Amino acid sequence: MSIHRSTTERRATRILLILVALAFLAFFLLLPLIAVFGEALKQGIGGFANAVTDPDAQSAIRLTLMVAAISVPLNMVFGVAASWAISKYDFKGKSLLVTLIDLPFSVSPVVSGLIFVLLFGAQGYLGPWLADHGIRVIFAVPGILLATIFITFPFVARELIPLMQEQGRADEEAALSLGASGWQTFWRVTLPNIRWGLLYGVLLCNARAMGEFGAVSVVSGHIRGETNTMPLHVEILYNEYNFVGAFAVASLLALLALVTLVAKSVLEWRFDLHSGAKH
Amino acid sequence: MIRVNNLTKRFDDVSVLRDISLSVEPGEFIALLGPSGSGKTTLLRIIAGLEFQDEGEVLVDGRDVSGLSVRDRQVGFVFQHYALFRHMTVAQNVGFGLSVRKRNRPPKREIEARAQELLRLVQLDGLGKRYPSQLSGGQRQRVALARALAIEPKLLLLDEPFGALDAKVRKDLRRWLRDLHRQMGLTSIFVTHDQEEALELADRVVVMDHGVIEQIGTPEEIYMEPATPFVSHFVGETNHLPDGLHVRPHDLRIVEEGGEAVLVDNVFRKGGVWRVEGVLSGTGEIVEIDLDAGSPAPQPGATIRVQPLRSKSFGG
Ligand SMILES: Nc1ncnc2c1ncn2[C@@H]1O[C@H](COP(=O)(O)OP(=O)(O)O)[C@@H](O)[C@H]1O
Ligand SMILES: [Mg+2]
Repeated sequence: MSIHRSTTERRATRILLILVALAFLAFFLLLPLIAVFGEALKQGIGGFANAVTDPDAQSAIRLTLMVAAISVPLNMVFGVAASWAISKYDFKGKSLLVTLIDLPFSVSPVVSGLIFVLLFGAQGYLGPWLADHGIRVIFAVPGILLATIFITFPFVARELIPLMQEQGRADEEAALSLGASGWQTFWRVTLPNIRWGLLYGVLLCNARAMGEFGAVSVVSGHIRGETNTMPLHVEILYNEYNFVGAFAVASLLALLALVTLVAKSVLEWRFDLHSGAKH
Repeated sequence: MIRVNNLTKRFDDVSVLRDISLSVEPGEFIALLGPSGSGKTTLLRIIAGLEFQDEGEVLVDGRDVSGLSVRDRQVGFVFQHYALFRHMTVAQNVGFGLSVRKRNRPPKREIEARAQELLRLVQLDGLGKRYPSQLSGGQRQRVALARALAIEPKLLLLDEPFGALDAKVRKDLRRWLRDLHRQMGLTSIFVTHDQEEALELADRVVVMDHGVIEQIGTPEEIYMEPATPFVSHFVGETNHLPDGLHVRPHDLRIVEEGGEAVLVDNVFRKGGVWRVEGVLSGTGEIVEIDLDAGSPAPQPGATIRVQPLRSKSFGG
């Protein structure tokens, strides 16, 4: 009897916990997502299409894509190089490097943006020199690029360092002992060993590069059609009570998040299925 | 011929190898034997060019190769955990060394044929299309060997080649490796902490402890004429009798008078002999004695007298 009661009690607890978790998810994730798409489509497909084909919106989309197209490959190369150095070699200052890689995660994005203003702004350390040479960084595309690269550089490295440390150096040493060059070793042994982790890191990096608001907001200057990225454009439209426009652009960002999520789940599923196996 | 002269290696100011010298003749099968942490792997890696010494030199055929990287030394290295490329098939693993050649790289077809040939040699024909994760430990180990042999190394280096295998597979593979070594006319050095393995396989054994070579000799010499108390202790079983006398269990016999008195604790059959365990009445040291299984076994609780037939003195 008591056994019976305790198992039903346990089941009740379990169901309750699951319900709480689901309610929480529905309230904080599903509801906003539905709201975003609902608002975006409030005036039908036509209204949505008008909003996303508006020249300023188009310009924001182009800028966001361009920023991602430059910062993601750069951070991919940086992430692989840093993880390679940290996991395969011993050198002085290694732990300092690891700490530095985490810096963007521990600093508020707004502060990160302000650092760039301090460095490159009109009143900044390098401002006068840049002005003399006709180079604009702050309130221009280069500033947005710098801020985005800074904010997103931990993603790939964070993903790869533990993976490469776990894999050790033996595979590379084996390749070298068989006569492979450093370059051949990298392309034919190291890269295949880390490819899923790398792809995962790149996905996260990309999602953040397209979605970053705080740091970019500080350095952008919000010039319509010039220095507005998608998240900044959403804010401007919203402040102008153009809700359909704001949510239409926001829904594109939400779509990106969903695609990233699905891709990430697929990767995790493949990881588990084949960890150490053929792919 | 390989010569190692006065090799020294430190990691962060900790001496890992001290004044190591040894030479290996063509065709020899050498064992580096010692307890864990004695520096065997480090020595093997320095000979391979995977690690570099602080002092001393490594000569191959009289030429100093200290400045050459592993890539240019043409050694076959079999890693302790095999280090097979997990995303390549077995055949691709074996063919890797040929496929990365910059000069005289054989055509693809030829590389594949060569890989098949090597897989046949290590008795894995038909498994070329599998991935390493689909093989047993013993099979992986043989793939690693075939992969190392593909580059036709001057010298084959193996780090604990049987370490990760279970006892039965170990024994089979051991004998097989010895035959392969002879048949291919290889020069090989392997690392082991298992004295039985070293004595059974090697032409000569290099016994190491704490980064120092304690003795180099044939298995016979190492076992019968241990140069230091460490070797006597580490290789085979040894009893400590008074006056620094080291005696093997099978070198003790029972006598009526004289010798040392031993209080018998335990007697059991060990293979073809009686193993008698007891304590020395004088010093309380534990003693192990092997007696012919045809003779009557002493009873536990009895006191017997034993005398060494053969012994090694290392001073009081
Ligand atoms: N890369 C390294 N850095 C620091 N210490 C090391 C390194 N490799 C080996 N050692 C140390 O050197 C000693 C000898 O190691 P090793 O050659 O692996 O011994 P063995 O193979 O005989 O077990 C050990 O004390 C080990 O901790
Ligand atoms: Mg070792």
